[in-house]
Amino acid sequence: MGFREAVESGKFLITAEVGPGKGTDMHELLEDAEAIKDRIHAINVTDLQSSVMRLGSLAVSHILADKGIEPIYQLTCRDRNRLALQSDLLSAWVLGVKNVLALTGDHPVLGDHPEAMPVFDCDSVSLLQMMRTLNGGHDMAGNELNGVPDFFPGAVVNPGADAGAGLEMQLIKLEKKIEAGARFIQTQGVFELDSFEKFMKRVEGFNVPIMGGIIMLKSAGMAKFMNKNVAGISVPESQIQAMTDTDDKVKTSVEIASHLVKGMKDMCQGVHIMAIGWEKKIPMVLDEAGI
Amino acid sequence: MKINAMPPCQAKCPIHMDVQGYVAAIAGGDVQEADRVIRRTNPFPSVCGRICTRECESVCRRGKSVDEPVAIRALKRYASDSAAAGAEVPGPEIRFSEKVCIVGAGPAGLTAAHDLALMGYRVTVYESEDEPGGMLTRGIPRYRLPLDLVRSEVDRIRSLGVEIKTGYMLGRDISLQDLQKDFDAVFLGMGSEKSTCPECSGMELSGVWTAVEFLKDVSRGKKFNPGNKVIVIGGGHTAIDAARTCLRLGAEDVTIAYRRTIDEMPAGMDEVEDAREEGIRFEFLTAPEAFEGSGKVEKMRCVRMDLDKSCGGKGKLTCVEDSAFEMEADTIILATGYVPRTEAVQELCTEGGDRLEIKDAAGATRTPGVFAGGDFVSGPTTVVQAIASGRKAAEAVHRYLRGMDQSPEAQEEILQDLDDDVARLVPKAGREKPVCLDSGSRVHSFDEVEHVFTPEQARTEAARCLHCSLGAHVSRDCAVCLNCVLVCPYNVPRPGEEKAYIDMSQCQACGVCAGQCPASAIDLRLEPRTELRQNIRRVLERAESNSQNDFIFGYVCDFSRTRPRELKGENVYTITRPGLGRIDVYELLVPFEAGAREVLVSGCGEEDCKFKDCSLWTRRNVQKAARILESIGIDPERLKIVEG
Amino acid sequence: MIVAEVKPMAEIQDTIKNYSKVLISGCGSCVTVCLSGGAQQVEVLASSLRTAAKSQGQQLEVGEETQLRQCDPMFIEQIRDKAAGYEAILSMGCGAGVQTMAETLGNIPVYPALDTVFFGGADGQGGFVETCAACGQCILSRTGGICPVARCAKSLTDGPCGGAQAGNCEVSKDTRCVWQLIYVRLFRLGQLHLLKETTPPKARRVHPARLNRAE
Ligand SMILES: Cc1cc2nc3c(=O)[nH]c(=O)nc-3n(C[C@H](O)[C@H](O)[C@H](O)COP(=O)(O)OP(=O)(O)OC[C@H]3O[C@@H](n4cnc5c(N)ncnc54)[C@H](O)[C@@H]3O)c2cc1C
Ligand code: SF4
Ligand code: SF4
Ligand code: SF4
Ligand code: SF4
Repeated sequence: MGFREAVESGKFLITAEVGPGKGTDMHELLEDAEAIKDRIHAINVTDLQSSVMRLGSLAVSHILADKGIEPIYQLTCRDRNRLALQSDLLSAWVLGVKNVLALTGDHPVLGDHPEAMPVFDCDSVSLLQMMRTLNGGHDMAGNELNGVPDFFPGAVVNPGADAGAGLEMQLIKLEKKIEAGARFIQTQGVFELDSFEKFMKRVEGFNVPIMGGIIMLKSAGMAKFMNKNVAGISVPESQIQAMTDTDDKVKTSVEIASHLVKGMKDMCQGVHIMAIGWEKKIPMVLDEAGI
Repeated sequence: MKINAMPPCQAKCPIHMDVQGYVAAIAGGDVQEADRVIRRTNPFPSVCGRICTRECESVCRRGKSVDEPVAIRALKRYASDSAAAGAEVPGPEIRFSEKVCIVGAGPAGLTAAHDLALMGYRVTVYESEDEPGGMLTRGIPRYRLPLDLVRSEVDRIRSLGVEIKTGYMLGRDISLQDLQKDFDAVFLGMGSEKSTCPECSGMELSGVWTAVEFLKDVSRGKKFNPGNKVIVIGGGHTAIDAARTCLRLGAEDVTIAYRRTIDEMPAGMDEVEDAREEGIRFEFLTAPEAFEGSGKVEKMRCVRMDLDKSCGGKGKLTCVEDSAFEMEADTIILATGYVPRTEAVQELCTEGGDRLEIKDAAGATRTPGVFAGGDFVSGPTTVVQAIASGRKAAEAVHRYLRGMDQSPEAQEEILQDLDDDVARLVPKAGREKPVCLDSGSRVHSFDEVEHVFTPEQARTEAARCLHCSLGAHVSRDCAVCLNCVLVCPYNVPRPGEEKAYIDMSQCQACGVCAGQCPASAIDLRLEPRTELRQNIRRVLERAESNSQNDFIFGYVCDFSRTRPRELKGENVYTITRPGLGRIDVYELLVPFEAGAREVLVSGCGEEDCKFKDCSLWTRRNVQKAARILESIGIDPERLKIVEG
Repeated sequence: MIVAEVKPMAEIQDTIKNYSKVLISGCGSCVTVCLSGGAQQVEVLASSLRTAAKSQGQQLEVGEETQLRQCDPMFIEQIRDKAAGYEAILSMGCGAGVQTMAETLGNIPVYPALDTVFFGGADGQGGFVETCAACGQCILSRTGGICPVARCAKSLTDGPCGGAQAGNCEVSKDTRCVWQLIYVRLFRLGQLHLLKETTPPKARRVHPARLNRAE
């Protein structure tokens, strides 16, 4: 069953993520994808994550699609103006890529080419509108398309945004994204079920499946680093402690992740597992969570 | 908008002395210049430096709003005592054929003579006494005003070509008509020394004196023995001087009896204090009724007075019933009031009266060409009033002789008081006090009581002046960036209607804003930029030609007390100026252009700075300039702040 | 106002290295206000260049001049004669000033001594902050008077990205996320509902823009 069908049939959704590397070697990425393809509904392919220059997400998405692994093409507004975005979308469609996750994108100064021109001609909301327009047979300028795509767009939300104004604005923007056509939502990494439950209460009635983000911890250091540097992420002290104390980091990490998956089963409509190089461990997580 | 107004000290001074001008010169260590500034408006600096009534100090804005007034009088004395007697100036040329006659060689007459001589008139002074000086030589006692000082000031006036004929009394030896025949204009400055005595019986007893007679006799060297107990009646400086003189003549118990209270005494509070210190007692609300004794006075009968201050003015006096009492006395001195002697000039008096009729502020009398001034017109006042009056009269005589209209008196704009918000930010610094002879020993001689400031004291005291009205002003070049508003340590500049606006009444003249204005639109009246830049250029040229590429250039604050070691020695060239906050980045860099090996900036450090935040801004400018030096490959260490 | 800063000294020195007579020309408007190119800076730069030249044994004569507004040819005309006596002009005006000067003087090379960095307003003593991007389609009415085009690192007009941390922008911990500021302002104005409106991507301006206000 394809990702779209899974969403539409109300199934508990499972996605994972792969990040193309710097260079042309796709060996490991494909191996990882193969290893998990049967346990998930689709795999996100990141778009120059953290603004670091890498192999493009469109090419990788296409190759996955060719191999029968359903990709979710992540597309950011950082590097493309509205011409390039529309054109890349059409290219994606003809290359067999149907699911698109619309993102604003990190600022170039955070990456390895900090002097690069930030484009941001559009933002995540207008990118979603753009897909709807294309799906409707026109481009943004109102010209008719000869051959029309039928994208399945998704968007993201950061449930861990600063309480108060930050979260309020995330929610307002989430509504705008849904209104602009987002059909599924993936969240930033979540580590605490309690606060995630509260977040889910806030989005009740939004009527779009929300997939809780799960980042697999690889070490206590990584957890601390994320707490400090990644917006919206807060790994609780207990998990950091567990990662410090353990002799078997993989085992503990899998335990933590599966605990989260288990918890989310009754709270939201799916999970999105970001294993960051540990993709091959994803089946263990799902096994342990009983999925 | 007016950009200048008089500081109150100058405005209040009857001769509008450029107080801050000479105070600033003293602060900068230049007594010669200070003396020059003083002599521009005052022919009696050493006199005024001692006994002036200091109207300036009473309105000094430092005293009014910050702490205590600047010791202006003591600074004036310091300048005139320390300045080397200038090279004898050649007498001014006689430019006009008219001759002018002055009657009375007191400060009023001598000032008129001085000014007229400088203008180019031939001046003759007639004086009834055998020595000129008026009350300066014959009234005011030596312990306050040594005689040789008065003599040397008088000599200076003589050196201008003024002829002083002593022993000529108007009315006795010469008449007004004679003078009018021989001279083209006459000025009468005959003082005010006819005593007005209270109506008491016993005036004829020996041992009863009027104060001026008494003081005159003492000054002439007449031997006096006032006995043990002395009562002086009156409340002005004559009373105090008579009392203190008696102490010095050997009296042991001296009392001043005054009708009113201490608050109404015309004498200055400091004089009262000095007298008290010396042991003189005061009986207030006391008036004499009779002097009693057989041939020689033995006691004074007096009554208590009641002063009703509610009716305004000096209040209304009434005798307290049944309050009569007696005081023993060997000598009684009456210092109760003086009026001018006008018998010799009856034709100038009001119909049937004996008061002079005066037509304008410059002292014109009923008779064209005859002018009068000083105490002779006003009744007893002060030396500086007499000088002012002499000055005005000289101007009036000149205008009269040249057929010009008499000039209306210029109305000067005066600075406003300091706002509390600004005054609060001015660093406090107490007033320096000159050393005085101790009260125990001084009463045995006529030695001068108050000493002159030491040079250190003088500079410290002079640095207290707030430079009122010499502050910053904004030119048309203002770009209205409002940086000045943000940098001023005293929050003075404000956005104005068109440009930034700096209220001259509030500006402290620290110069910080001038150093930070990106449009170079701010200048200070306290050493304007063009002057400063010219100075810098001059000194640099000298340095360059004497010791090319091997000199140290220093900016030194006038107000810093010590000069650091680094700034002494050979090949060091310095610019001293009041405050360093205004030395801008360009001024710090330009000596390098001329080849300076090092540029040193020497302020007084945060603690002692008279200007708020001045050293902070100096440091910032130095840092900025150092960064620029670094950027052009010059060791930034070559520019630094050094402290003493 | 236009905000500019003085270029690194080495770069300035390099641009004029082939000349021995240079006129530094400041501007009395914006760049004076931002403390970069007014009469005072002209003096400082002139002195620095002379000192540098001298220390390197080079001949350099530096003239000084400041116009009221360098971006108007009429003011440049006033110094035409003086400028003719120099081999090159070092302008302390903004980019517009440099160009007006170059255009007006025609055959004398004009070089910039400043880097023009943004338009903005005053931010405390000596501080300036970018506040407007001259986008040509002002949306301040919907953002509580705070411009996300100029003040969001990504010029987002539809609400914040997910990168803000503790209310600060993802590009710098020293900068508030502008959407945080907008939220607070709209809250105070009772206009939070404006956040729900979607702003279509802006029509980008065509450079160079021209404006005729004479009609
Ligand atoms: C004891 C005393 C203490 C004082 N202390 C102070 C003080 O501390 N501070 C201060 O500011 N002021 C003081 N004064 C006041 C001050 O001295 C006088 O106000 C001032 O001297 C007036 O100057 P004048 O030129 O008008 O008159 P005078 O100084 O009185 O001079 C008048 C001159 O005219 C001469 N004269 C008079 N009649 C004739 C005539 N017919 N023919 C020719 N010559 C004549 C007199 O001999 C005298 O030389 C004091 C006065 C006295 C008496
Ligand atoms: S502070 Fe100086 S200028 Fe101001 S009133 Fe006092 S003496 Fe005069
Ligand atoms: S600093 Fe200078 S240019 Fe700026 S407002 Fe003040 S006077 Fe005007
Ligand atoms: S900075 Fe100093 S000179 Fe300038 S206005 Fe303020 S007090 Fe006056
Ligand atoms: S954090 Fe805020 S200001 Fe920074 S890029 Fe994101 S939305 Fe813009």
